[in-house]
Amino acid sequence: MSSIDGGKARARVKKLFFRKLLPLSDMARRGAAYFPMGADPSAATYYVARNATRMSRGDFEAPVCADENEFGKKLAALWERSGNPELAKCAPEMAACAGLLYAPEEIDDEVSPFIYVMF
Amino acid sequence: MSRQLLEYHSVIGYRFIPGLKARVEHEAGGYLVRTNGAGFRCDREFLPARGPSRRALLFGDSYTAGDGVSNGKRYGDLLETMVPNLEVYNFGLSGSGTDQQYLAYREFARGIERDLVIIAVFVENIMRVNARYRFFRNENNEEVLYEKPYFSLGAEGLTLHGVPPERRPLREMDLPPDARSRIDAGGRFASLRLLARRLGIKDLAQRITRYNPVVEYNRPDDPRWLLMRALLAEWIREIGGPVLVVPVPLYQFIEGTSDPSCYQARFAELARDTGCHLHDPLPDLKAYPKEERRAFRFARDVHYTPAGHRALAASLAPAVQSILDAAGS
Amino acid sequence: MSTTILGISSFYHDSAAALVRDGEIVAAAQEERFSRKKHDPRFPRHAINYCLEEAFIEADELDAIVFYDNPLLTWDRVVKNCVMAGEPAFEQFEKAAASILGIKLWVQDYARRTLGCLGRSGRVLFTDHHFAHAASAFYPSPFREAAILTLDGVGEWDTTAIGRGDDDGIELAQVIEYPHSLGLLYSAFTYFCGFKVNSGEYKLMGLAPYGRPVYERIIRDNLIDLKDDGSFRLNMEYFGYLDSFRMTNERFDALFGGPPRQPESRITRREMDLAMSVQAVLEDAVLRLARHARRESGAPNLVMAGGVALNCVANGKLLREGIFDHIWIQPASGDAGGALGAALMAAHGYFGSPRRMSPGGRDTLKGSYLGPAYSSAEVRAFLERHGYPYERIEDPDGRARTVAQALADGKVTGFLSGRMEFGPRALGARSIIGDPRSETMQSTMNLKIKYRESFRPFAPSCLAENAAEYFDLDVESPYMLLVAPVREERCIPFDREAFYNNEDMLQIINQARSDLPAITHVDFSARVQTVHPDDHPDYYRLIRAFREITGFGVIINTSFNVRGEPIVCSPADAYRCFMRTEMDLLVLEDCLLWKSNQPAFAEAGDWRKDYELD
Ligand SMILES: [Fe+2]
Repeated sequence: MSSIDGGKARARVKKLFFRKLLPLSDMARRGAAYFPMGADPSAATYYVARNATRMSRGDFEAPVCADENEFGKKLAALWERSGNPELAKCAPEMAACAGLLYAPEEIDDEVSPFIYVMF
Repeated sequence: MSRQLLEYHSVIGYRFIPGLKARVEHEAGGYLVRTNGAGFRCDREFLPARGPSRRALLFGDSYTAGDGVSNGKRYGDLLETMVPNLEVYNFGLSGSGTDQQYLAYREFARGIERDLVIIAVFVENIMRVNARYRFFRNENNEEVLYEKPYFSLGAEGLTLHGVPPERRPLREMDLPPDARSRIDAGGRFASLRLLARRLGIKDLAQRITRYNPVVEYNRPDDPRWLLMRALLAEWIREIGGPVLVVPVPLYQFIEGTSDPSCYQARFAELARDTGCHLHDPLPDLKAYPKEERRAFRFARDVHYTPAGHRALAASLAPAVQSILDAAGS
Repeated sequence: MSTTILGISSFYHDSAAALVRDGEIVAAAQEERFSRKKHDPRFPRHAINYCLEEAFIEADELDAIVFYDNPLLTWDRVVKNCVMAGEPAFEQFEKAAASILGIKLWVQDYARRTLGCLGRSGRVLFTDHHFAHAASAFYPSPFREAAILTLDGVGEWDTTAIGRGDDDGIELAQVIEYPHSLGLLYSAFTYFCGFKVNSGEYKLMGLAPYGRPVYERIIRDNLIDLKDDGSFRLNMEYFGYLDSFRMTNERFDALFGGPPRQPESRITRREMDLAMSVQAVLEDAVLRLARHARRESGAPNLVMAGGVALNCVANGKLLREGIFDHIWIQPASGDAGGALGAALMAAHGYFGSPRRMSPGGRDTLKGSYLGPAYSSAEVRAFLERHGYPYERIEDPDGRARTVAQALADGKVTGFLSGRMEFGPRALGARSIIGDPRSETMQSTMNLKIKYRESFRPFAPSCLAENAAEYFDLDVESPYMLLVAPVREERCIPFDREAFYNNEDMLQIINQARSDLPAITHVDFSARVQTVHPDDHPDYYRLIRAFREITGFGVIINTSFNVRGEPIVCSPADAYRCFMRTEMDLLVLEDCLLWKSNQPAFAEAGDWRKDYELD
């Protein structure tokens, strides 16, 4: 929807990808994959059982982020819980990117007091 | 993107579509508009016969119709909560001049029993009264020109012209040159908007200090004021009963950047000569601290905010109360 | 104390808003209908405005604003995807960062700006994506308990979820995770056959009956491993969506004899056969998933949502297979329906509103007529302002007779009546309607009115009680989500071998296939809408009048728009579309407008440029 404008943000995202994430790629390829890339003849089923089968009240409230700091903390906690400390380490850098990228579309109505929307 | 709110009317030019329930998108989020079966933005249906309540008929433009705020947050509706046993019939019509409001009275209100008629004159209405055409924004967000009914003042008094007004939009280029000067492009704000574009906001701010947005009131014999005054005088005479005239100030007057003394003098003369009641809310509004006064209008839209409506209602309520009490005793 | 909840879906595809009060669905609408930008993904401020308008409440009276997706989990998926894909995924990462970190994360800011506040709770709540789909399917359904199956491209990590709903709420027990997705598989073929991903899936489904499943084996052997229990995995070696902006890659091309079809180029036998092949695989997967859901849930009924649930051909098979006693499918099954699901999920799962069941045993979706209506006064205000000539017929029966006679005379009619539909299908509130008996109507309406590919058949609307006269269908299909065979005695057999050897689709299309040629697909099927008098009395009345005049209780119903345009919403939208096309008659509530009486419609520029082809 939006493209990254502003060289600063772009540079930071690039750095994040090449310096922090790409090094994890080899590890992921060497076996610690984040998800399977194809069939597994030995598997009886491909269904994944959900840990929590219902949404708790807390689940509704958990994802809200007031600012990038909160986002960074929640992201790190998520990855600590899921056993991805290597990603949790990247969370602060991602939060910084979020701060730079923050770009909700402007809602601009030119309001003229004497021109009415009509007909 | 919001609904069409207004429909053609062969005398007034237009009115609200009857029976509407709409929400209008607005910089402050949006506001709810409900219209009654008569095509006015009033939660009450207009009944000819008065019940046990005291009844005020309220006329005005968008400041009275309440552009920017929901029905219940307008000063007219708030008056009902401040003055015991009062019902207000709101005939406010957005974008209208005092001339069209007078026509609305003649078309819709003449036969309605009441204790008081309140004519709220947004002071800039004087420009609309002197205009024959007016710009509106259509559903495609284009500014289009519409004809409006208007009065002229001659030796025999007022004459109504332009009825029925053309229902379709006109093009400015198709008007004869002398008619082009009779377009109301959105008050003096229109030229201010142009200036702002040309000069930038900072320069503009300097220019509007002490800027008088309504020069038409400067002299008692200005023909534009004479027309306005004749209209109000005839309307007041026709009503016969108690009338309260309320000059509704532009924000420049409330915020102290313009001098109101000319228009105040003109309305005082009108009250003196016609015997109507006059309530000038400006001193009450100016008594609020500066930041509160700024919050009487929206960030961009200069219409009154709910706070502005509350302040106006608070100023008006005692005046309305005392007129009703005097009439009742 | 009543509880009012606003649900929002946005930033992906087809934004929408929905409002639920004490568990009752009050309003729901897609942003595209107001912004006039097809599949508008922007924050749905106009749709929100409409929802508050319909409920006639202030924003600060909302108890909660709920978003249908968890952006943290979505970001988790994006990051892991890019790590797995490595360097080639950089561009994708850059784009995802801009849209998730720059926009999606800040939904609360959007809500505050749009509404001026965040309602009573002062913050936005979130649901998991598939819980929103599940809630949109289960809560409005007529079932006290049901198995739940949600199928889409992807939401956060999940692409498929199986669970159940009952008095205790919704439980999702098993999922299939990204990148393994039936929705993405189908979209890959949509892309490969030259249609747009996320909107062209419907065309692929419509193309399938022209083809034979000659590639089914190749798909099963190479692209998908489908277990007996319905679980599956894709072979990512053939797909491009992990690390590029294409759905498929060169290996996929090699598998199917060359590169993807160029959009708008001629459709060849390969595309027809590919469409049929992937459709066959999809149907098999859906049946297996359904059997598994039946076993796991123990529930006799099934509810479905998610974009794949819009595949009404698969749904029809599922129904006829008899795995479940009854099936109910959410008509707004795509992203838009997530807004409704999020609101319902929060209403019942967060605020504990008791579930509302319809006493009559029908669903509580109100026929999906959840959008804005325009009063006769509003319509007339519009027409009078512009001076458009019209005839007003206030008597509903007289009006129905007049319109039905026009249809019988071969007039194509734009029909705007009552509240607008929520979801991708027009159901008689914003429809273009015509006579299904005409042999040329399918081509005429496609080419002169819809300006779209002519291979797609139209859907029929029929009176609910007469459906069995025309179709092998013994249940209601109020949302046009079931494909059923046209009754055999109505069909005209033709030489199928010659048909499959023929590349000229138009020749096939113009060949009568039944006594209702315009709505009978080449495989003698039809995508049926059954019309119930409670859901839309005016539309029901019209079809009844058509039956009285012609003996046929069926009419053509296609959405009121041209190709690439969102379905019309307001009388102004409808008038514009009417004047741009070769429709003969326009019905705006109780006002009728004949094309022959209208003044010339002048427009600046070429309106066709406004609409990107879908
Ligand atoms: Fe989805």
